[in-house]
This record gives sequence, structure tokens and C-alpha cells, in this order.
Amino acid sequence: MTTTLAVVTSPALASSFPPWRDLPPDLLGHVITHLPFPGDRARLRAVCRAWHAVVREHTCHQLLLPWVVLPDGSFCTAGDDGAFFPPIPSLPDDATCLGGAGAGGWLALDRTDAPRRRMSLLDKIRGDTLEPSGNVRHRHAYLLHNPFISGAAELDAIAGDVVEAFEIRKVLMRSGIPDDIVAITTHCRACSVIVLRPGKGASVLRYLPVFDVAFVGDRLYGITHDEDLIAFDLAEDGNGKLVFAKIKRVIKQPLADGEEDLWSYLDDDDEEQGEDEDEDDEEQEFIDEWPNQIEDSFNTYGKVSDGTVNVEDTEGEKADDEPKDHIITTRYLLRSSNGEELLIARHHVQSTPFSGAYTREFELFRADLDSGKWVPVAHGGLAGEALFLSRSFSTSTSAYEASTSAVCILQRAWTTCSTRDPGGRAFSLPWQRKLFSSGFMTWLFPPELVL
Amino acid sequence: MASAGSGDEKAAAAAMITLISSDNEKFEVTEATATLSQTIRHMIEDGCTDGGVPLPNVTSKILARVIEYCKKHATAAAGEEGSSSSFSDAAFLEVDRAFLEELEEFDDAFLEVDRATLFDLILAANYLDIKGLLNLTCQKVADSVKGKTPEQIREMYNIVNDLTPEEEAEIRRETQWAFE
Repeated sequence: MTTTLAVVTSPALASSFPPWRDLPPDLLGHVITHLPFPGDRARLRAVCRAWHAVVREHTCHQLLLPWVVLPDGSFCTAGDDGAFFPPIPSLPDDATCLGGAGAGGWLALDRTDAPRRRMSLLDKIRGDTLEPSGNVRHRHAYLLHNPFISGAAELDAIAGDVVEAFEIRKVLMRSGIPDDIVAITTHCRACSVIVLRPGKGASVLRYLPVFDVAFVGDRLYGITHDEDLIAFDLAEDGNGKLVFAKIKRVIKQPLADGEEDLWSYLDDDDEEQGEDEDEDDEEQEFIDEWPNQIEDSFNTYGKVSDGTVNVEDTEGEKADDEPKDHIITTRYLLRSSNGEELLIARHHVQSTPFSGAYTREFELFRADLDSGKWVPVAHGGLAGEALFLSRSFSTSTSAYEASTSAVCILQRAWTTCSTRDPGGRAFSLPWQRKLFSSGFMTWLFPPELVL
Repeated sequence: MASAGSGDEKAAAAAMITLISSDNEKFEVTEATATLSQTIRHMIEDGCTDGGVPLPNVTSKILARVIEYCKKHATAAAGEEGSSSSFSDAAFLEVDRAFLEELEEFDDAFLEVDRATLFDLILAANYLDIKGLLNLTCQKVADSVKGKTPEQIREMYNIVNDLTPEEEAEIRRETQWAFE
């Protein structure tokens, strides 16, 4: 404040040549919070000596919080000085953001002539229909995009005409390198998991209800709604196309009495090898006839559960005719920040009829592949790790203090975004996030400006 | 404060406060408008606003603009309090979006000022502690330098480059990718 007083004591000078160079550091800091792209900050610091110092100071003291990207490409920065920004300039006009795709600022985009994908909730409410149609088809092309290094990679093996109701849930790059392996999950049982390399053909996993995937090392893992963990070994065929070389169930959850184990054949090492070979041919065929097959299989086989379970809360003391609370459980599969462990997060939300929803419980398990079990992680968090969860992109990063853990969740039924940020404080997001259902928002970690 | 009913609030809203600029011009504003400034809010809470609030750091020209902003946004703040508890996204949007859009138009027009005024508005927003105005004005500066080179920014804001050529070359080399 005292600096401010000093600056304006000479009003005549201030009005003719305002000393922008002497803008108090905290105020230039405010300007910098409105410059989210590292490139703009890097150029700002080359303007003069004072600004150089302020950019360094500001960038060092800022907690590295990810952006929240909305389906139309607009985004929010989180934290105390979080702000809302219009769509990322480098995105094509017809692109919908499907989600974060990998480390280093990669996004998965859906370019389509179906504008409803990009419509805000309000526009959808004003329109005639909320539900996507199972009969109307639109042309879609999918790509990977990096707004920070102007990188892009077409996922041309899966482009085509697909029904409105078709939904890609997750696009996950094995590494931050655009021609490396990409795994995709969809809501469609006939192609629950797709693996490909950009520019090469794709392979499709069918009828196995895997709804979320994660890479650990070279291996892809997927979970089913029963929390069975499936390991996929990927290999290349003669033409460089990725194929599922080996599929094995590595964690088997107990079944309810009388329930049939449909996937027991995945437990046996020898038999599946042969079976897999047969499937390969069908997969090839399936991919070649992508548009027809999508619609046919969608109508025939229905959806893969997204691992969300909604049950009535029977514990509450409510009369029979009163509206009951619901407990909504959502699951996320992710890799720990050291890259070595697989984690499954269960988020239980208590949804009340009148007063909204709140987190009832958060559970975290790690996969113990030796014993074939999910092992609970004490206190629902890993010391020193901050988890960022969303349907399309989940990741674990180092927290700012080795002893703390944090969990931030973007979820459909959950309007408050998170529990705590990595600094342990609650954080809010600008109101514009309400323009889209929070289930379709995603985390994006911009590359750090290292100074 | 927590126990204050809506009747009290109405009475408070009708109360007038006198603000006095550095060049001794007096401005009468409602308390609701004035309290968008946390600085003035604290003065009111401390009961030291009798005889007017002297603002020796703000000229009448800038104070008039600031008051214009506060008048418009005071109504917005009242509206926001009503809706923040609402759970439904859809209901929130239906009620508030039209108003927020109108506010956005006002803000855009409000920012049609020269760089000297913008500078003074930032300092005034900071001194008076008006978060919305500070955000708005800093955003305006940020938008104006987006995608610009250091040379363009210096020219735009009349900044003399006091870095030696060696220092500048070093800074550019550290983040070469930003200058390509």
C-alpha cells in the first residue's frame, strides 16, 4: 500500500506518462495471473528489469495447480486468484475437448459437425432435447492437441460417422510423445477399449466391460465395474499396428453368491494366447467397418457401465414416504506419481433431496499384483501425493509438503469441485464452470515455466 | 453482523456516504455502493465516516469512474448472494446469466479508456480494495500483452528497457521457445 501512495503523489506525471515500469509488484502479479500461458509470461519478463524480477517471484510462489478445461475449450485456473478464460486460441472452431490426454499439456479433441457437443447446459435446456440420439449420426475426427507446443496428432484410425449417443470417455497417451501408444475407452460394449498409434491402425477390445484404463510401464491396465483388474500386453503386428498380445486378469474381486464368473478364461495364461489370435482377425474387420459396426453394436449390446453406482441410503432415519438420500459411488483408475503403482479411488457422495450433495467417504486402494488384491491405502491418501480425478483424466502429482495428501475431483453430480488443493486449502472455481456439466470437465497441467 | 435482519440491511443500503477526492470534490453514494470497497467498508464499520471519507490517493476524474463501476456492481453483488446457495446448475444459469451478460457488456464499455486512466484505475482499485475492479483492470492489461513481443509491450506501455543487451540475450535464451 505504501508503494501505491508513493506512485501517485505526482498526479500530473501519472496522467501523462504513467510509470508502468514501476507498477507495484503485487499489482503486476495480478496481471500475471491473467496471463495463464507460459509463453506470455516468458515474454513479459524480457520487458525490463523490474518486470523480470516480478515474473520470477510470482511464478516461483505459485502453487502448480492444473487448469480445469471445459468442453468448449474455455478454461479456469484454480486457486485464490483463479480466473475464467475464453477457449484456448489454438483449438479448431469445431473442436470439443474430450479431456486431458497426457502429461505435458496434451488434450484430446473431437472435431465434429454436431454442435450440441459444444453447447453449454443453458443452451441445451433451451433447445428441444437434452438426450443425444441413438439414430442421428455425425462425422467425427479425433486428435491429440497440445496448446503449449503447438503439437498435434490425428487419431485417424477411429474417425468416422457415429451416432450422437456414442461417447469417448477417455483418451490416454502412454507418454507425452505424440506418436506413442494411445489407449481410448468408450461407453460402447463393442469397443470398450481401443489402442492405437497415431497414423497406424487401431485394435479394439470387445465385450469386456473395462471402463477406465491406466499405463504402468509398458503395460496397459483396465478395471471393470466389479473392480477386476485386467492387464493388457500390447505388441505390434507386421504393419506397425498395435494388437493386444496378451490379456490377463490380475485382480479378481469376490463375486456375490450364485453370480457367474464370466471372465475366468482371462485367468489362464495358456489358453488366452490362442483365443487372442482369433480375435485379432475380427478386430481388423470391425475397424474396417467402423461406422456401421458402431451403430449396430451400440444398439445391440448397450453401454459399458462407467463404474458409477447409485444406491438409496437405507441407514437414514426417514419415513417410508420421505424422499431418500442416495449414495453415488464413482471409481477412478490411475497411476501413482512415482509411476510404479496402480491406484483405484472410490468417491462416495451423499446426495440429499433438498440440501445438495457432499463427500461421504473417499477410499484409495493400491493394486498388489503379487497377492492379486486391492490393498487399502490408509487415510484415503498417499503421503506426499495430490490426486486430481476426473472422468476423462486422472493423475497423481507430488504434493507441496511430503506429509500431506490432497484429493481434487471433478464429478458430474458434484458441483463443488474439490476437497482440498495441494496446499491443503479449499479452492473455488469461477462461476462459468457451471455452464457445463462438471462430469465433462477435465484437468490440464500446463508445462511449468522454469526460471 | 450475523444477526442483522433484512430490515437493517435495507436501512443500511439507504444510508449515504460522502467520498472526497484528492482535489476536494465530494461524491454522495449509497452505502451499498461504497462498501464494494473493502477499505471504505472497514471505515464504516469503525464508524469513522462522519463528515465524509477523504481519499487523498484518488483524483475526482478516477473516483467518478470507480463510483460508476461500484454502482453497477453493487446490484450484482446483491444478486449473487441470493444465488450462491442454489444447488441446481440449471436454475443458477436461468436466473443469473442474462444479468451477468449485461454486466459483462458494462465492463467491456467501462474499459474503453486510455492507458493512463487504466493505470490510475488499477492503483485506485488496489487502494480502495475493490477486488472485482482490480481483476477487471489487470485482465485488460493482460489481454493487451497476450502474444506480444517484449518490444511491442515496451512501446505500448512506454517502458524504457533497462536490461543490458547481454542480460536480455540471456533472458531470451532461457526460454528460447517463447520467442520463436
